[in-house]
Amino acid sequence: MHRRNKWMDGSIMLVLAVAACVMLLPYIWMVVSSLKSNMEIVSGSHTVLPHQVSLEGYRTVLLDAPFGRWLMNSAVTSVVITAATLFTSALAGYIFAKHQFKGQKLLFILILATMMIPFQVVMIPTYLITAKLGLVNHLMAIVLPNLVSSYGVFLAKQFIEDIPQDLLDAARMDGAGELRLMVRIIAPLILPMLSALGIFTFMNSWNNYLWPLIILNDESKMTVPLALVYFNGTHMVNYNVVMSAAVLITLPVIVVFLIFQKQFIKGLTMTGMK
Amino acid sequence: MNAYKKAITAYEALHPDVKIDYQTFPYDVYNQKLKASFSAKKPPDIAEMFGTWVPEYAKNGLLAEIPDGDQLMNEYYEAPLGGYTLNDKLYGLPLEFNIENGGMLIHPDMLKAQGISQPPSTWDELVADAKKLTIRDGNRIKVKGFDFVSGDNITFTFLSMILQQNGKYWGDNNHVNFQTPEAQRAMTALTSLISGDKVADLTTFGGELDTSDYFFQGGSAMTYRGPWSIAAGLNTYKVKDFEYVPVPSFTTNPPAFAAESGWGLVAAQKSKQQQAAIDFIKYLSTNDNLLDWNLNTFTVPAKKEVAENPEFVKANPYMETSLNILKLGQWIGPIADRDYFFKVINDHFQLMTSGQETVEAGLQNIEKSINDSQDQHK
Amino acid sequence: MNHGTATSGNQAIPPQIDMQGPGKRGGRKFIYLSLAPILLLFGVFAFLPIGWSLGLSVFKYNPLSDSALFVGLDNFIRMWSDPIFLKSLWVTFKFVVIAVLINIVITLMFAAAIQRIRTGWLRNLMRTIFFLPTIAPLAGTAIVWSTMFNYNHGLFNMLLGQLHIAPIQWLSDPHYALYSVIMMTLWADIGYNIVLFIAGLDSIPDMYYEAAILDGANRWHLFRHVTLPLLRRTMLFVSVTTVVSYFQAFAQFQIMTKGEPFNETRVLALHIYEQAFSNSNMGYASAMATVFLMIILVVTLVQLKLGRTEWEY
Repeated sequence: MHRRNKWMDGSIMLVLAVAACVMLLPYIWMVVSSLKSNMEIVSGSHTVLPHQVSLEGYRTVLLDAPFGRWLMNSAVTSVVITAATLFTSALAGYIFAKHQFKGQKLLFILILATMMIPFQVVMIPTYLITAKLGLVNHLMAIVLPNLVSSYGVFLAKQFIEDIPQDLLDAARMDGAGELRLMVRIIAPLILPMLSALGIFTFMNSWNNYLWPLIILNDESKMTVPLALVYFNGTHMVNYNVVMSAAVLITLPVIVVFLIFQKQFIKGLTMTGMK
Repeated sequence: MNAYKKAITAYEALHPDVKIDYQTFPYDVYNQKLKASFSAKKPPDIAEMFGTWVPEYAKNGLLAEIPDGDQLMNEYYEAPLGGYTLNDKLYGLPLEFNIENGGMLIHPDMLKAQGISQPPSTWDELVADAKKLTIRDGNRIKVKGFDFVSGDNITFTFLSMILQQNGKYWGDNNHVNFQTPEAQRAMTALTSLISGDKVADLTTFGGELDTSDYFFQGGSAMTYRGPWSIAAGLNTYKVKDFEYVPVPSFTTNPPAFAAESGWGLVAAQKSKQQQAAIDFIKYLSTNDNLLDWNLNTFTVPAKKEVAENPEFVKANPYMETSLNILKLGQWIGPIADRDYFFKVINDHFQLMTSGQETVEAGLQNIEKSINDSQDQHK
Repeated sequence: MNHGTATSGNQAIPPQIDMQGPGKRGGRKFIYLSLAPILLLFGVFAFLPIGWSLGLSVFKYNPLSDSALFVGLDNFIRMWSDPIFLKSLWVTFKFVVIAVLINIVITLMFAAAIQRIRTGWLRNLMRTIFFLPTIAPLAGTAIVWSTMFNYNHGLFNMLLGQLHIAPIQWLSDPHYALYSVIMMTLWADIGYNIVLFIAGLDSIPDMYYEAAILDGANRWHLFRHVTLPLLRRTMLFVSVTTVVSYFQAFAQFQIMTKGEPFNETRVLALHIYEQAFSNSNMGYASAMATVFLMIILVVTLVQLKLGRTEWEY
């Protein structure tokens, strides 16, 4: 561009580097604390690094709880939720964007409005409904309410609106049915947005904590974020165990993120620009 | 936890037709979970409840009455039973005596280092010793002389000091009354430990560690805490350099105190196996099984015969201090919202010690806030 | 809106008219068939609980009891003389205003700084590092941060100790608690806005800058008169979404402070939750939730309105 100022660039870089280190600090702290023994933590040692590396925390998480089972539960529910959300969002988005029917506008506004409501506010009614359906303590209770997403419908509608009508009309003229139209024409066109929504949904359901906590009872049905509270007793603090659990929960999301990072950032910026 | 599993296995062996599915939850969410399951009419057959939670359930007809209430009531101490009783009917059996009063953790070495050979036997001695034991580092307190600043102990100590003056803190209509001279004296003495004598401070209040943790880390010489904290010292910190001794009465009266009803078992009214549920509760409440349970969980017995059983104190000598005063305990009373009650007292305690509120105004505000909450729950 | 935008060839028009009859009927069936299950799910798990919760706001209702007592607008009246509600309203606004302002300023700064990096991999690395915290579970993040804030052996007081500064009660000193939570919240989610701002900055064509430089504009002028106006779309989106999500912030408060000390961190979302679950005041909690919802709606609409009118110029 114009006269680039070397001194200025250097100092900006320096500030950025420092900020980046600060951003990484909590991760380092988490890993380091997970490697301390409980004894060392409670005895009030005032050092950052552990005196002696201990895997006690990880051992407790992995052996004293069915952690593998929890991983499975989390993976299955998150994958099902993600796949279903993508499908229902695209479908509803397509209908709201390219079809007209009575009450369409009102319905869309209602769906948007649900985004504004914090979950805690509707938790009790949701629990009572889920109980009426006989789903308490079933993994279905995690999946069912999350098969649709108002945010997903909103995004899909915005993106599908921008697809030229001619394209759809041409396909219809060739005799394509609506479902085929959606899968063949629309889905590929909104793929970046869908992949962003997919990763977003996956991470949200992976990290979901409050709802599984309330609705699941059996140890064998729990999902991984519950490990964060599982080891906390009334009068006990097990930092190292909690930290180990935090590391083990965060790791898969980071891996997933790093793999799909490009699509995610692309999708995010696109949706953000909407 | 294992104490339950053990009892369940034994019970199932005796009753081959009964199968008990046992689930545990972290404390932080247990209350919410119980409420949700009872309001959805899908309660567990048997639930462990904290005695203070029970009246709300009993009032709404959600719990099964335990038969032979009159006789059972004589077998237990008053304080642990209070929460489980409603209109002279019994809606569950306490397993433990939840006691936060009467005993404290001390480091004998720290006392000796200050030339104190005996634990204090009067309140004045306690204050004097605490002052000697406090070690300062500039403006900071390095070792607290006498720490009672925890979410539970501020309130419990305050209430017990009222009772030890033969005072009362309940007025009419389930309202509290803190405008008495006894309450004034109690709160003045308590706040002056922080603001005047400076034998403890508020730095550790509200943190995630317990006052007993700081004690075992060497952060205080004497710490007012329930006997359950002994287990933490023995098991988590693996230390033996402490003792659990009586806290002297605030007056010359015996060290009376108020206690909440602690953990116990209830059976759901809606349960399809109500008979079996009650039967299991009674089974676990037999003397032998309770003795086992209390020893395994390091809890104080709620049942008189168990507490008086010499086997118990022999197996758990640290408990002696607490066992000696159980009969002096009375039930804390019909508190509608336990967390709020304690929070209000703790909040104002902090304001009073930091001089942002006089003791008089603080007590007035506490009384008003708590009575408003009591009215809301009628 | 977009129907006629493309310069569609004339030949497409006649068949389109032909198609309208049968296409529409087939379309109806498709609409109803596919929308029905989706709306059913929304109905059961979104509309119904919300309606239920709003309906409860005129009752006095303990979830454990069978009966609810109709109290009309009592719950709403009670709110305005409830010091804890008023306090938490104030705390919520304080949190949202401070956190959103800091968020937007620093994310814009970092985005501008990262955008200046010419080395591709370094730029990506920086973006990844700032973005990483947004994907971690918030509950876990909150727990990790509360140990870092610990008075005796937390990271921050250790660092202060190294600098010979007296330790701070990060989470239990009424002067610091809210700011500590804000700090953690910012760490956890500035990544989103940084990425959005980078994209926004990327989309500004260089020629605008070149033209302005020819007119003799300095850095500040460039930023003020070129970058900011052209970023308005991004800015609007970022501020609306950030405000809504900060209004709803909950996990960090529940885990790190539980509203303490002295209710200094008792945001509305937490207060409503506790009233409903710990105190069993479902009706009152629902009334507060209704007010809360209105506030979020109004604030969002005002923001959109302001954003739009500015846009017209």
